[in-house]
Amino acid sequence: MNNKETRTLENSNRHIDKWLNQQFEDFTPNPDAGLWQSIDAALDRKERRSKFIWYWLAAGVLLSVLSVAAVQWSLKNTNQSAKPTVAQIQTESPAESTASNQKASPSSETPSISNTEALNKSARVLRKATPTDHLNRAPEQSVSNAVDDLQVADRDAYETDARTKDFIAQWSTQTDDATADQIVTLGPLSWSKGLRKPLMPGRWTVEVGADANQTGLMYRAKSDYGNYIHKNYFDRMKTGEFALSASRIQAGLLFQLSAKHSVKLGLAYAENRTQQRFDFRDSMPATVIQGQTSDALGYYPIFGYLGLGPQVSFQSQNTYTMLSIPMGYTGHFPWKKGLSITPEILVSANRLGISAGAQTLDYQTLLQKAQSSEQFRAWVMGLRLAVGVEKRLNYSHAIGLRLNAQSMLSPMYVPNAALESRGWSAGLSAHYSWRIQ
Amino acid sequence: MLNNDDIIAGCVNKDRIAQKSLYEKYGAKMFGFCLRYSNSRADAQDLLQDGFIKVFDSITSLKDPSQLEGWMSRVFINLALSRFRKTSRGPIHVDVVDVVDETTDSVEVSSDFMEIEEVFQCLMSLPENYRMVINLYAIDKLSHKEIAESLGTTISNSKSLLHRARVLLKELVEQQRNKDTGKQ
Repeated sequence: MNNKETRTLENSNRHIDKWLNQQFEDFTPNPDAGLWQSIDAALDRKERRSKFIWYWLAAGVLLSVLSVAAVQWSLKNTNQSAKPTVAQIQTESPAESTASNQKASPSSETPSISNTEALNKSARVLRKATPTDHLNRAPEQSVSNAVDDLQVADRDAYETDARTKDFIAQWSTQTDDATADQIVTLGPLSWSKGLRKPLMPGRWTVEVGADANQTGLMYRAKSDYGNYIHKNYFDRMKTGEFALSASRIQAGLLFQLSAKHSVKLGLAYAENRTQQRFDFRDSMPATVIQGQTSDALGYYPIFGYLGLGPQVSFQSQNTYTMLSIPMGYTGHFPWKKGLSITPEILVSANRLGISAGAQTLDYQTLLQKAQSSEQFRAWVMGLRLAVGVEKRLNYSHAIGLRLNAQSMLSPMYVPNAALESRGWSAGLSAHYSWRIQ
Repeated sequence: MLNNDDIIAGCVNKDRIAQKSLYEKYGAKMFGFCLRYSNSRADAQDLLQDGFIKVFDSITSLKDPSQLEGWMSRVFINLALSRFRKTSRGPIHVDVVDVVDETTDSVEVSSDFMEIEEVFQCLMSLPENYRMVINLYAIDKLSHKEIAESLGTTISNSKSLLHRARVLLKELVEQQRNKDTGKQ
């Protein structure tokens, strides 16, 4: 730097700006020779991840379409195959009723009941008329009508049960006039079909299901432990992940508190697979000063970084398994035509298993190392939120779909490790439920 | 060597050869830029890598191909500012590495390079927020309003930081000059 320049510098602020600008105008130092390879590898990873997300999205859409089609098919099938089991029930006098029964066969008649209230009323009328009616009927009609009367009588009796009323109320809000007719004739609610033993509405339901989820890991430093973790660790781990899946199977027992609210206790098993690919050179921690507090994995704070370290190039697959005991709340809010909205909030205690020996990145040195189960907690808590739709096929059976999101509440590493990593997953779950009668 | 239009067209189509050409053409220029905004050479290389990935991702938003270099600079500035905002809240790592390019060992180059290296050392000796403001205002020609918005501060605060940065930089340059004079 010459004196003239410096003198100019001293004169005015504007000149220092101009001088600085001139100095850096042609400032073109060469970056490290291997840097393009790192960019190239990062672009590759990005492309793979983006493709992977599209595959998942396509799979989710396909699953949704298939599920909706299955529900539609099931509904259609039920409508076509079901035959009327209740003879024409009319809100007329017993004598008129008998005359009407003689004119038409039960199978060809369309029920004239248009709502549940009318149904209940007519049921009471029929029940009163039953003893004398039988005397006026032909033998085959008499048997048929006796069966029908029994069914109505059964149903009448159920009305005294508060839980049944809940169930009927739930159904009647879900159905329009046409489906109310179906309830009478086809039997989604015909729990006293034929001469079966009267069935009590159950409070217990068994539910089984499976999740197809996308998973991932969230990384953050425990507060005040920022200097224990390499400054690029979070970025590297994030960009290194390219294929992540979480499949889960579950079974649960629901206890119905009321028509809309249930509690659930279950058992689930999940396999969370994360694949990572790294190919980079990174700066190395310069000084790791002992004498300060170490974290639970024995690391001390980093003070400064040296130049580029060795090339890190590896691909690994880690599997985190979780045996879970979920418990919590499940709702069934009537929506329309036999469909309910089913939100779910569950907390779970998860027994964590890791693929010991799989390669991963050390959070202080950014060098690859083998995973050890001692570094991980045995149990982690989790939270699952889900909401979806359930289709009741009949009194006992229902199928449903839910969008679910779940996350670990406690980190995976042992307490007081500088790194707090938590798994999450989100996706689609399908379930089947069976009400125990 | 591809021209800018071909490079941009190739990058829009995610053609890796075009992307490499863009890197080869502007890599060194942008690396100088990254060094000014980073605490170390390693940080600057990280910034350069992230910056190019951002450029490749968002090159479809470039409207005027003749403005490619200016547009890239703006992408890198935004990225550097975003990093600054992140790190200014978190722990600041003390860097023990010289920013001198260790691969440059030619005597002729180094004698030329020394001057800029000295200026660069002075710039790097400034506190990070001073350096950020003087970089943005004096070299990259942002207004105080833009700087204030980018750093989440006020215009008067930006002016104040710039003033302090200039004063401190003058002192550092003086010290450097005296050191050089003493050597001679």
